[in-house]
Amino acid sequence: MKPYRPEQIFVERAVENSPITKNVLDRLPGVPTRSIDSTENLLEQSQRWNPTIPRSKQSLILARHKGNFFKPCPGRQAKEGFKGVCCNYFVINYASNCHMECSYCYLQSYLNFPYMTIYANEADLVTELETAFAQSPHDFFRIGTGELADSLALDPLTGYSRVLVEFFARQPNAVLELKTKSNCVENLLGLQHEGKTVVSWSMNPRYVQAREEHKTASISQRLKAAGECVRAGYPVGFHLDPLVFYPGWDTDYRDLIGEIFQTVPAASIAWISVGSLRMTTQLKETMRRRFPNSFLPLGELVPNPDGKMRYFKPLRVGMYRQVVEWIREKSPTTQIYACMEGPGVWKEVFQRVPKAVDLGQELIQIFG
Amino acid sequence: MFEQPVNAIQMISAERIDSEDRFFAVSLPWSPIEQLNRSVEKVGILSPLHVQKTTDDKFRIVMGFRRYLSCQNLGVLNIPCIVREQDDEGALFIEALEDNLATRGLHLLEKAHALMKLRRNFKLEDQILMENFMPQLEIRADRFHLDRYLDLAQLPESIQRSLLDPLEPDVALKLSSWNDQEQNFFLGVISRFPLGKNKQKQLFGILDELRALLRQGGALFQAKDLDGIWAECGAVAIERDESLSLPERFNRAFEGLRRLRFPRLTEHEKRYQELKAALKIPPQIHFVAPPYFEGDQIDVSFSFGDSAELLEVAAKLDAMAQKDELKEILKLL
Repeated sequence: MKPYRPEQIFVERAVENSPITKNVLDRLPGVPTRSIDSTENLLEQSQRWNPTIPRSKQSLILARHKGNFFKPCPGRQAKEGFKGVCCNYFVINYASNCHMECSYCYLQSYLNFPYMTIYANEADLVTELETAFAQSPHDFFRIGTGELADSLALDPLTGYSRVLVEFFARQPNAVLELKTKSNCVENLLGLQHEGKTVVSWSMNPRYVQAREEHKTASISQRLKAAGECVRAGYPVGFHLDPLVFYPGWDTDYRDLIGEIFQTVPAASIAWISVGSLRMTTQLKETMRRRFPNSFLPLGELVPNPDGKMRYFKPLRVGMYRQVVEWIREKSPTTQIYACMEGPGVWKEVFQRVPKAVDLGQELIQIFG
Repeated sequence: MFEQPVNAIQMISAERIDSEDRFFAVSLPWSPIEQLNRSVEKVGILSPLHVQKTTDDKFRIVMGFRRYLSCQNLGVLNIPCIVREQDDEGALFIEALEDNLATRGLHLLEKAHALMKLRRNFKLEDQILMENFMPQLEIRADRFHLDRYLDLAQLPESIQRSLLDPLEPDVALKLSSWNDQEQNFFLGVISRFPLGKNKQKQLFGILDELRALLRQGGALFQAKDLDGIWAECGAVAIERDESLSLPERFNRAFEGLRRLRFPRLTEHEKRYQELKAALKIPPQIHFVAPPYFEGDQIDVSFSFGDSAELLEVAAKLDAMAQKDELKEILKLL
């Protein structure tokens, strides 16, 4: 993975004394740093000057998160005419944006604050989680941090993993998932995690990674990092998402699945998700402009009821079925689920349509 | 109130005015001026041109490029002019811009060229353009729109000319990344098919993706260029079919392009249509698969006028339900 080094740092005064801010500033000596009262001016400037995406990623903002860190995964919300099968997932957003450049990344057309942002008021985050877990002691929460940012790519700068992993180790009713395309696991290896953090990787065949996942860790680096986490006792997860169709995709995915199970014992795998390539028309346009050599927007993608485009259903159902079969060949009991898919696809691929609460329960079985 | 020194109006020979020097021009040399020609022919030049002396014998135009062109078209030998003495070229250009804005609506390309001149010739910073000029030109004052207009001003002349009619600006900006031959192909197609904004964008979009498939080597078709694609999808033959209206020809040609762009989906649709045909569905029964097969149910509706017709439809539905083709159709979903 290409490490991140911004050209400038803006620190909101409210988080000047935060340990996360100190970590970042200590690890980026020599980068010009400015104090700001609030991020509002930066937002206004970005709207006015509309900097290019790579340009805006050169600015790192350390800010106070003003709203709730903790919320249900957006996949739970029904769009008009479409309700996906929900896996009862929650997210916490302690950062937004990513310095890696996956051609298909939805953040390109999603974020209206285009700068790299880390919310450094981690004490507020911890308090909010403590309150939520205490209010629902009989619920078990599966929580990820990879919705608006890669969970670990900036960890060498922030050290956020220490705060979260050690906090979750003490929680009786919650498990954390750190989802990444990096190999930044060094901070994790010495932590007391009590098996309550799943470190997971988005995986694609090398053919796709080399062409479409720019600045990310190579597949070999990701697998090596997964092996290190397993040796440190962490459960791990894999996300075969987005599944990409191209000539030879089947051989490549089958080999990739083989390689995963060769590196990581099935018993250490908490879950594997599958999800097909999807994009809004706006994202497709952005991809064509920013990554003119990307082959992904040239797939046979058609509009779906949720407003995104995916491979037409018979094509992607065929892909899912094969991928699920290859995983089952390696491990019949590993939990597999499809992300952002509706009941029709679930029925055809898994021969069932689980309720959110049931699917959520199945996925946390390994946590007792 | 702002007052300008009054300059006397002089009649200057058209030959002494260098219309090739377009340093101050806001209008485009190829803008249509038929209406102005008619006016000049009828009542003459009501507002004198503003010119600046360049050499002893020559003048360049500050304001009135279109009026000058009209005079040329009509063979006017002497033109009423005000000779401007100021040296401040920036101030003169801004005055020319004001003059144009006060008397007519500017085409977006004229706005684009005005911004480009302010930036390039008069070295105005982008922030000044956004704060002082874009609102005046009725353009949203932000970086995105500034860049877009500056890009428009730099398009090849052939594309700029097409922007007057019929090319859409969004399409024009993207078209500039195609080579000359490809640009000419597209401009040719849209000159033969008068298309609204959305259809033009759709046509460009599908051709752009087919072109990208060609370049990336992922195409399942034989053609090697856009002309070949147009032929392979059947559009050349469709264009010649005079039994079809122009919109029908376009729709069929577009459908042909879509088949090349989505070969697997096309195969699937073809198989569905074959099976559906084998069901021999009577016209009063509507049998519709979900769009793009995204769903797991067939939508069936029917109409009837009396009990006998309803029984007939029910018998037909019963017969359809027994057929292997129906099972095959359901497998396609």
